[in-house]
Amino acid sequence: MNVVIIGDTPFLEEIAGLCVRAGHVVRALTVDTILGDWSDLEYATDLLNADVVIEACHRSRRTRRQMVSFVETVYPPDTLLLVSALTASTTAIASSTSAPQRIVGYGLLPPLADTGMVELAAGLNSGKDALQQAAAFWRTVGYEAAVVADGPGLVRGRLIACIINEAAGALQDRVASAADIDTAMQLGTNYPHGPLAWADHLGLDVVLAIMTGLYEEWGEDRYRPAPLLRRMVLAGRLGKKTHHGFFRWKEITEKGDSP
Amino acid sequence: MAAPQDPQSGMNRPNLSFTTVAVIGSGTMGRGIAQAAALAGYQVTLCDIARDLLTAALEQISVSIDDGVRRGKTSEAVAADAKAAFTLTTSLAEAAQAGLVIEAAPETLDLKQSIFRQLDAAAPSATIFASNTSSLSINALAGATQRGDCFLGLHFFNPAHLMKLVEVISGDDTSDATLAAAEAFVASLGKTSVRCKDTPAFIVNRVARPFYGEAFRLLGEDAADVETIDRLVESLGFRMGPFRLIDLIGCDINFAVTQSVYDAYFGEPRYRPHPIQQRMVQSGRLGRKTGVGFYRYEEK
Repeated sequence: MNVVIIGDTPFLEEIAGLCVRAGHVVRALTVDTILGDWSDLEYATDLLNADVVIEACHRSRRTRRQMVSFVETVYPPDTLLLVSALTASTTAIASSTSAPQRIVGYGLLPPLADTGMVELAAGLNSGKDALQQAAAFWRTVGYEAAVVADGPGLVRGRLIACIINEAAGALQDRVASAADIDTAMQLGTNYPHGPLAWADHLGLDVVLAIMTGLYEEWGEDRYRPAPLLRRMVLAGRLGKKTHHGFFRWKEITEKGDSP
Repeated sequence: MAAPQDPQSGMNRPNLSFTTVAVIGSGTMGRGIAQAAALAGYQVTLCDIARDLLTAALEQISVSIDDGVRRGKTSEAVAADAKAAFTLTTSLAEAAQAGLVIEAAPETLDLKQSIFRQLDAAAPSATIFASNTSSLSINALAGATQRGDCFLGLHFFNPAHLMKLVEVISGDDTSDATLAAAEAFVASLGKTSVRCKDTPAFIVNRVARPFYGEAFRLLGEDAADVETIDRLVESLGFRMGPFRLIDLIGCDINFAVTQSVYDAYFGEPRYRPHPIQQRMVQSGRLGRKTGVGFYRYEEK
């Protein structure tokens, strides 16, 4: 199949990796490419042959609208569009388009290696066919689809972002150091990754966007982002991609205990 | 009973080299801690309120040590030495003569304070006192003694003889020397310590709250069923999803911990218990121990 993926690191690379491994023809486009002048993309003919377009952008609502509008402009209205439902509901992302029936929300949370499951969510205007097509597509990648209710973060993104937010809150309260918080969660309760190192892998901006999405959706205090998380994003400490998040990333990678 | 005083600060100087450890309380946590200490070569004084509790506890510890031998984790020689390392007592004054005293009594402030008051009166002033509390303030417990500098929390995880983590919790007055001695002790058990400030639920019990709390919310919203939520979470590398883990822990224990953290933070909405938790407990579906929780279990 021809797969077009539009997104940011690490989602773009990790999802593209899955699709390439499954033997699909993959075109990976960064969000910045689409935000620029994409009218003269040199590989436009390749781009047009898409059986499925996967959006993995976790930026502002306005930026995501631009991604969807790119897809609307370039692809016929029956091309399956999978949008990441980590930071906003499928319904919300599809609200700016004229063909919401071909849009299905999905949830994947890096590091993807061998997770083997994708979450799928239908928005209020998603078509039944689209949901089935989406499940069939992920099967070709070797991923089992679990259909869950629509909403920011779906199941895993919501659970893990809230854990990271709590860890950031504990760090902000100086309960313990970042390294000790991660060690405690890995040894005390067998977490697969320390929550703060996990945040560095996902990107603190993505974690903040999930929390903000939950907070706006539910309007409940329990989803209020930890002020430290917001400040770190404002300071450009986004995690691995800027080499500085809760940890400094050259060192941590060398230690070999990164997620 | 003469307290070695630090000539500079006048503070009690903690006893850095000890070979005896007293464990107060022979419940699950006390037994696990005592076993870990005995296997690491310490002489262990196990203290509880009744003789039969102590002999039963020692019997359980022996079985657990033998189990370690069978599984190739412990040598015959180490096991024999560990089993011979125990002194049983119902006297807090006797337990107070150990080089390090670790309290693992039931989680009641009054009870623990009373134990520490009695220990404080009997122990040399430089003896380090540690509490294995998971839900009470270290400062609140230290306040029952005159040795805030030699007082700290050592929070072990169940099963304590296996779990590698110990949260080392400092109170406002805990000295650096006391922390260093406690960390050296934890390392001598082959365990890893993390330093933690005295705040409700410390690190693990606090940061893990959303693992359960959001799972209950998702279930309450019918976002997915129990098994789907568990399988999705397990796909990330967690050994057990939230509901399988709660069934193992016990729905009653999980609900009690949730309520305790919620109360300790005076109703912080992030920690609010979910009606499903209460309903499970009230209906007697406590998990594996009752044969039914979020899943059904074969009878033993």
